[in-house]
Amino acid sequence: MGASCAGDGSSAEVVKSVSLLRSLRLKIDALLHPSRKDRELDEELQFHLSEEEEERIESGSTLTDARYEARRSLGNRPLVKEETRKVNRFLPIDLLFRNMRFALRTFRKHSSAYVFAICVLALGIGMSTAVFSLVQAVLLRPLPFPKQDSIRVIWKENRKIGAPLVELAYPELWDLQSVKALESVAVMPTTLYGYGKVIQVGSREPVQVESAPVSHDFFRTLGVSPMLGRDFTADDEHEGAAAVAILSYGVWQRHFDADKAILGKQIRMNGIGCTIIGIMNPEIDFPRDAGLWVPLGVNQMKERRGATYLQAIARVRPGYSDSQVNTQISSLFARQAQDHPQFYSSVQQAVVTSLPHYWTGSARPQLLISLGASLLLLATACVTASNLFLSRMLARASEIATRLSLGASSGHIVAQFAAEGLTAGLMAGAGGLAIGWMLIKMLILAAPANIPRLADARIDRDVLLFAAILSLLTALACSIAPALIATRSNLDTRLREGASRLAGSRRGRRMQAAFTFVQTAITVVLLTASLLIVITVHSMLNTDIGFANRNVVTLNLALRGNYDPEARDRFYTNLLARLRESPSVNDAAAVLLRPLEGSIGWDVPYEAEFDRSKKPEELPVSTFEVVTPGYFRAIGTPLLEGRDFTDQDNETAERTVIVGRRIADRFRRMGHNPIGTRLRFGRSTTDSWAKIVGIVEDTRQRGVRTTGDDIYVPYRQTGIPVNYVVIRGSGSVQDLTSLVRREVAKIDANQAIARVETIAQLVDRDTARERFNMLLLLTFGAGALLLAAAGVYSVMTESVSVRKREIAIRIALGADPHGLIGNLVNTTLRCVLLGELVGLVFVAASGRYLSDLLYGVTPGDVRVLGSVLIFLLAVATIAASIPAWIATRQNPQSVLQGD
Amino acid sequence: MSKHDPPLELLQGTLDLLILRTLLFGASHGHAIAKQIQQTSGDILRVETGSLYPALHRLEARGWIDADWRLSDKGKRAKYYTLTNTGRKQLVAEQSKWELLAQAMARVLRSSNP
Repeated sequence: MGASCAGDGSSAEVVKSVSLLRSLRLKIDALLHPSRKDRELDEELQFHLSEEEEERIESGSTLTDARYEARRSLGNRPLVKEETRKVNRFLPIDLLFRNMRFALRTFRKHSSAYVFAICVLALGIGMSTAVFSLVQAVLLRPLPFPKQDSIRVIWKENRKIGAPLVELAYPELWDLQSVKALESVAVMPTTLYGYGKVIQVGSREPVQVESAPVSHDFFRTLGVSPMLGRDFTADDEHEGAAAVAILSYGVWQRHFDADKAILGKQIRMNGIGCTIIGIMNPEIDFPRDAGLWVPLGVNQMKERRGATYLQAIARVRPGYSDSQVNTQISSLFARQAQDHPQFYSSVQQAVVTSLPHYWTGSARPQLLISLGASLLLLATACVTASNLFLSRMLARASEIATRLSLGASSGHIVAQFAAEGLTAGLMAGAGGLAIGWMLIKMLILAAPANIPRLADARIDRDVLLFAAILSLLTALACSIAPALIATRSNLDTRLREGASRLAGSRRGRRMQAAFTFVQTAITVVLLTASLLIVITVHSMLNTDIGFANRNVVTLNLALRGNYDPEARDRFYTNLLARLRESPSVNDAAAVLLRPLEGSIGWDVPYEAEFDRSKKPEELPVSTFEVVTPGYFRAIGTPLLEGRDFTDQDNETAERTVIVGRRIADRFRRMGHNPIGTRLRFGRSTTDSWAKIVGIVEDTRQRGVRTTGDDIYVPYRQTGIPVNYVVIRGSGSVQDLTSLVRREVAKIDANQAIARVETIAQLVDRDTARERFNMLLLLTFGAGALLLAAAGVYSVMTESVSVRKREIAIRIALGADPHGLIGNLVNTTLRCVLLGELVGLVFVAASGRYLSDLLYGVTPGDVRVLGSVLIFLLAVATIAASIPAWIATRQNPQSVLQGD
Repeated sequence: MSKHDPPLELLQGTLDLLILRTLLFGASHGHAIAKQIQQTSGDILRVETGSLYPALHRLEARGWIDADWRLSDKGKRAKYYTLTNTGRKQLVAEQSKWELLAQAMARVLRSSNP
């Protein structure tokens, strides 16, 4: 050791700081070289011993006596060392390390119990971490747009007729540009449906790519620019401007081999030359799945206020609050209704959504509910671990008593339990991260494809931080119960009394009762949620969606190029006739938009001839489908009354429609026979009337959960194209697809088919989120149930082991074993019941968050709640009765003698 | 080592003072310090090893004494402690404090009034 000196510092401050430094150096030295310091201390004490010995020999003792006496005078050498060592240590850190090493030894010694606790915690942390990584990827990680929170998506709604999405027309872009709070505005279609482009590169087979027509300020409003080439300019959007396109990174990679030379080159798009002016950077996937972007306002639709198919993207000027923005936009829309009453109704209202919320949509509540459920599971895992650590502490009472009598302070003991908790928490955290890592991979595979960015979920810095916080919380949970016992009561005397007294103590019992109570409450919440979602999925899958033929193949064949309505009709008539001729085909038809494509599709207001009193904005709205004859037979929608369309329902014949049962029933209630009643679409009085010739079963056109009116018109009586082929036959999906592809190529080799899916697959896709939620919640619910049962079991086991003498005496005195079991489980089951009640309160309180996710069942469903409560009580009764039963079966004599 | 534990606080403060005082006459090792205190006090004060070494290390950590390894009179390696300047000042302060305390104690204990 260096002989550093404090020096002659004249001021006390210097002396103080120098001595402080020196003390710090000694401590660091001690921390870094514990063994050297130890050796030195040993040597010092050894020297003391030899001096003592020599002194005694000098005063006439024998060597043996001297040695003995010297050692006696030195006292308890390890204790002296321990006391001396303490002086030179950074106590907290050092103590922590030593306590953690000790904790590891303890864990090894009683491995099964601790391994179980740590595994349960690791699973809890792993699941929570995995779900959090999804939340992080989908909801928390910023979008690739700078200052994303100032970007808004704008459309209108009409609550009066229940239309949540009223679209904008191009001229409204100019209206919105006059709003002061908006820095820049652009428009894009509300859905990508129908804008697919067939692109042809060189001599390759043409491919269909989703294209997004956008106004030229689109990317500037989002705050991004192409990574190669240039952005759109106002000149690109003029009528008659040369066709240009910006490619997405993915399309550039897949179909253009990432060749930079493509910039400025012309490709064939829908048979027309188009110049590639830019490549977007890879993160930009907006609107979702856009393969390329083209200028929007290049046709006559630009001027028409009636052509509503758009929504606006706007960047808010800095300094404007949400309410200011909303007020300004609302007053703009109110002004529009005054200025152009023929286009806008006064009941329309502005819907202004921030881009992040628009982006995640309903994935937000679903993911947050899953995260909440996983955290609840972790909480019950913590309760399990806490219970276990408490039991271990009680079981180790004699060890602890020994340590106390050897001079350890109760602070030491508490520190020891804290260190055990921390060690367990860290191990569980590490294990949890590994489990989480695997779970993330599995969840991404199981997750529905339509949750944006979910596939990007990974363990990043924030997820690590989250896992670390969870680990610390679990550490706290593990050590808090033993620590509470240790600090609240006089540990010393309590522990000397022995484990059984402590376990039987009121505090120990109360704590375990609290554990049972908390676990039960959490389990009720999780079981209820998972049962509700199971019923939801079950109802969705068993809903009569009106499409009986689940194996029917649907595929997109939107004709590109120079097709006028007559040519289109001829193409389809020709194609369907060829397909029907094939022996492997039972039915072939075509439709404007296949079912279950989500919110996209046409909504049209309609009025019946017998009831023309309604104002235009009060007209009911129906889905609008254009179909070929044979469509209902192909897709399996039963024709209830009247007839299907025929080839005679053409341009020259009387206009006809087929309606769904809902409309027919309403007409009947109003005293009119639906068949033969005439309908008219839209608000303009120029549209001609169409006669109802048939009634079909109601369908879930937009989605399994969406009901609404259905109206079908024959394809030859409208200018609106059919876009999807619906084909049913004996061959496989691939056979039927290639058959269609072959027949299409025979008529027009430049067309491409896309999005081949059966109705079953469409149903799968539509129910994917609910099924994913079900998977998660069922896992969490089952986990919680197991832990609760294990908890009740272990509390019961402990309680009967404490009372085994009492039980033995009662048995010996001839008590009825069944009554005794009932007596024993009584207290525990009362806790369970209380927990169930509190769980019910939580379910009732959180019901409204759940109700959006549910279908075919409500959060307060009495049968669901009842079965959860009864089931949980039954499981708890079994778990509690087993230890009690075992206890009453023991031979009372051996128990009483054994003690 | 005696069976009963004497009150630690009093001993600690007192022992520190005794060690500092002993070291005023020059460097010494732990055993010699204990002997010195015992002899000077006329065998009344016995310094327990369990208190001595923690005290020495504590004083060293505070910077009141310094330690280095030297050879003892009998040629063995021993850890010698010396008083530092800070320690010297501390000794003066502690000593006057102690004397004040002792006088006050004496006054109270010898007083005849109830």
